[in-house]
Amino acid sequence: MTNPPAKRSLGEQVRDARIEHKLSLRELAKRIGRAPSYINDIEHDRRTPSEEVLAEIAEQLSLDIDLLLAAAGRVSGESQNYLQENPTAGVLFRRVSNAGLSHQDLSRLLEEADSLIDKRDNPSDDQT
Amino acid sequence: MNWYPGPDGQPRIWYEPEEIEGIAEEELRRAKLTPTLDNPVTDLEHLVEVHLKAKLDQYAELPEDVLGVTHFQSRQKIHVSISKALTESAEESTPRPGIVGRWRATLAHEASHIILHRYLFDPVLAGTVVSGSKENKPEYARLMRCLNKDVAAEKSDNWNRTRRANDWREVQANMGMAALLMPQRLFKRIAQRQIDELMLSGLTKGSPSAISLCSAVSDIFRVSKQAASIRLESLAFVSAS
Repeated sequence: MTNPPAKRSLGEQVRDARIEHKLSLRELAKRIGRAPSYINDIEHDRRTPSEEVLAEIAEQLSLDIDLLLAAAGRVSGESQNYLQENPTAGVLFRRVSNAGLSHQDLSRLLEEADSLIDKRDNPSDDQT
Repeated sequence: MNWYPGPDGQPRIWYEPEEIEGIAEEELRRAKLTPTLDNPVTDLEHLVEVHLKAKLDQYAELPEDVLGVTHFQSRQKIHVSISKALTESAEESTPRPGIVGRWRATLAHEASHIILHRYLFDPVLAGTVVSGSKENKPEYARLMRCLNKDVAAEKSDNWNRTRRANDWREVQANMGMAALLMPQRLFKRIAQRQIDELMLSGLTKGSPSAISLCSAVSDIFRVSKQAASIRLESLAFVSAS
């Protein structure tokens, strides 16, 4: 049984990635056009940045925006639209959430979703 | 480095001033941050975050008289907090004279606490080195609050008095601070170069020549004039009278 990944806060993820990319706080702040104090507050989990800022950070630090959004407790604007247009997606999320599925169960669901997406995008693969 | 019991029964570490110089030099070398003639400014953020692996908060809300805090916790990352007010003052487009030096001194002072005093909070090391009763077992977690008055350049005169002083850690961290900001060998070369270039002579404390030299080296190392002045005196570039 695989262990769930260690839970790291958004700030920890950003700080660790910045250090891994050999960037100082001020260098990262300059690259994304924000104040160093703002980035510092994000790194110490005192502020939750907007999706736009998270996307800029993700791009600079080669991080997965979806994981950053999840760590920030946010869903993207695109995902919000999808949920509004497809109420079943909301039901699915609530079902999963209420059941308290484990990390392993969620990974299986994610694999299933990837498989459905793959079949939809590559229908010819099914016929061979 | 020698362990000895303090007046309160808690374990203390004794360093000679030259030992602190050597430890700081070695730490910079291991971190690949040894300042050079072309780049004499020690990168303290890199030293604290990358080499010493501490969690650095440069904009911490600290009480007005506190410049920095180093928080040691057993088996956890060391947390270094620098006063938000100090960092913001140092970042101003035209900072007040000496404020950048003050900010850098605070970072170097906290880095020195980690370099010199981390052993005090290592349960394995402190527990095996220090023998004693249950009452004077070492502390495994502690906040080191460094007040405005604590972060100051130190002379090594009367070094032995720190053996039983309450602020022994602060005095040692100040000695480490100077060694990190102005490594001895490089400082000597740069000070001599400035004396030659500026054709300075009669370097007694308070003389125009000594003031010019102090101003030049404090700009080069981005340290306060007070720190540069004490370094120049202790390395005998400037005489007391």
